[in-house]
Amino acid sequence: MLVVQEVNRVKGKAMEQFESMTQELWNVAAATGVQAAWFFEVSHGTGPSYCVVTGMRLPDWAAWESFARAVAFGDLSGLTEALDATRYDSESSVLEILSEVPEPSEEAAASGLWVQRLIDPDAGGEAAVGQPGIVMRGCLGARPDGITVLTKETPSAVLDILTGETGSNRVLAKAESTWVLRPSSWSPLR
Amino acid sequence: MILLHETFQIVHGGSDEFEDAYWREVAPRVRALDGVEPLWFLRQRTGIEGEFAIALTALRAGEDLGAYTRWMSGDQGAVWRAQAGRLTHGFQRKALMAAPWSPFNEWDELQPILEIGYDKRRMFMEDTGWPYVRVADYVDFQRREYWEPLQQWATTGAAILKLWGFFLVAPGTGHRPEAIFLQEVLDDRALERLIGEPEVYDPNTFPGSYMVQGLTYRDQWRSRLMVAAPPRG
Repeated sequence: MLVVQEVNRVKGKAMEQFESMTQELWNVAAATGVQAAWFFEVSHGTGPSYCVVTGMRLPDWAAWESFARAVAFGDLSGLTEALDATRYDSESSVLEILSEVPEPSEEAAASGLWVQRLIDPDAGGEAAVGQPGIVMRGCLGARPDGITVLTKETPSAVLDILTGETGSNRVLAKAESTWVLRPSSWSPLR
Repeated sequence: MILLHETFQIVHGGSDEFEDAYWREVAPRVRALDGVEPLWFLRQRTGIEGEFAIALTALRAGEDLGAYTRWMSGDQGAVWRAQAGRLTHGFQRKALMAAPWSPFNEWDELQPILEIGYDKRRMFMEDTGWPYVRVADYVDFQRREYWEPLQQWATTGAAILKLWGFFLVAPGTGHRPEAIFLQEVLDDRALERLIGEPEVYDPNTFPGSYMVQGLTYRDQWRSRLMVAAPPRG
C-alpha cells in the first residue's frame, strides 16, 4: 500500500474552497483506486499557518502511475488546477506503508492529535515497524529512503514531545523533524 | 515511460568520489533490473548551488519505479546509501512525466538516445519553471512559443539547442506547480553569447516573443548548465 502525501500552503481566505475541492478531487479520483486517507492542519503553535497535510492511499505502483498521469495531463488535471487556485504551492511525497497498528491506549485513541515523525535513512527507523501507528518508508519526494511514523497522541503527550521533557520511545526519539497535526472533522483518519 | 530525476547536493570537493561511486554502485546494478535504464549523469562542479549532480534514469512504468525504490531503500542499496549519505548534504527524488507532445513518452524511444556517443563534451541545460497560471495554460504556452519555434529552427540546421523533453513533476514526487525543459547545448559559442551579452528582446519575433509573453505565465525559473559524464563500465 502506498500513500501520496502533500503538504499544502493554502491561501487563508480560500481555506473552505481548498477543503471542498480536496473532497471533490478525492471523490473523482476514487475511480483510479485512490482512497482518501487524511486531512490534517498543522497545529497552532507548532508551525506555519494554513498548512494542510493531505494523504491518499493507493494500492500499488500501477495505481500511482494511473493517478499521476490523470493529474498531470488527464481527467484529473482540471480538478487539480481548481485546487491549485486555492493554494500557493505544495510539496508531495510517495510513502510505502510498512506496518499499521491501532493505538492500544483508549486515551490516545480518543485524542484528536496526530504526530508525524521523520527519521533519516539508515538511522534505525525500521525498528518502529509493528509499533502502534502507521510506519512508512519514503520512496519519492524530498525524503526518499527515510522512515515516517504517524502516531496518535494525547495533548499532554504532544506537549511532552515538543518540550522534550519526557522521552518518547528510543526509536521515535531518532526523529529529526516532528509535525503535530490536527485532523479536520471529516478527515478519514481522525 | 517515466523519467526519474535525482538531485544530489554534494559536499565541497566530493564530486569525483561521488561520481565514482555512482558508476560503480548504482548504474550497473539498477541497469540489471527489468524496465530500468540509467540515462544521463549530469554534474556541475561550481555555481550558485555549489557542487551537485543529477542522475536521470528511464523507467518503463510505475511498477518499475516501485522496483527501483525498493532496490534503493533495501539491503542491495545499502553501500550506495552509505557513500551518498557521506558525500551529500541534500537529496531529492522526483518523477517526471513528459507532455503528450514531447519525447520521452514511449520506452522504444530510448535506444537511439543511448547510442549517442561522448566523443566531444556534452553540455545540458535544465530550465525549471514555476508558473502562476493554470498548469495546462503554461504547458500549452511552452509548446506553442518555445517547442514548436525551436523545432522549426532545427530544420534549418542553425539550432543551438536540442530539446530533449518537456516534463511536469508527477504528483507525490516534489513541488507543484513545477515544469522542466531538458535541453542539450549544440553550439558553445552561441551559449557564450547568451551568457555574456544582454539582449533587448523584440516582442514580435522569436525569441523575444517567448521572453516577453512568458511573463504572463511565470517570472521565476532556474537554469542549470551541466556536463554529461561519459558512462563507465
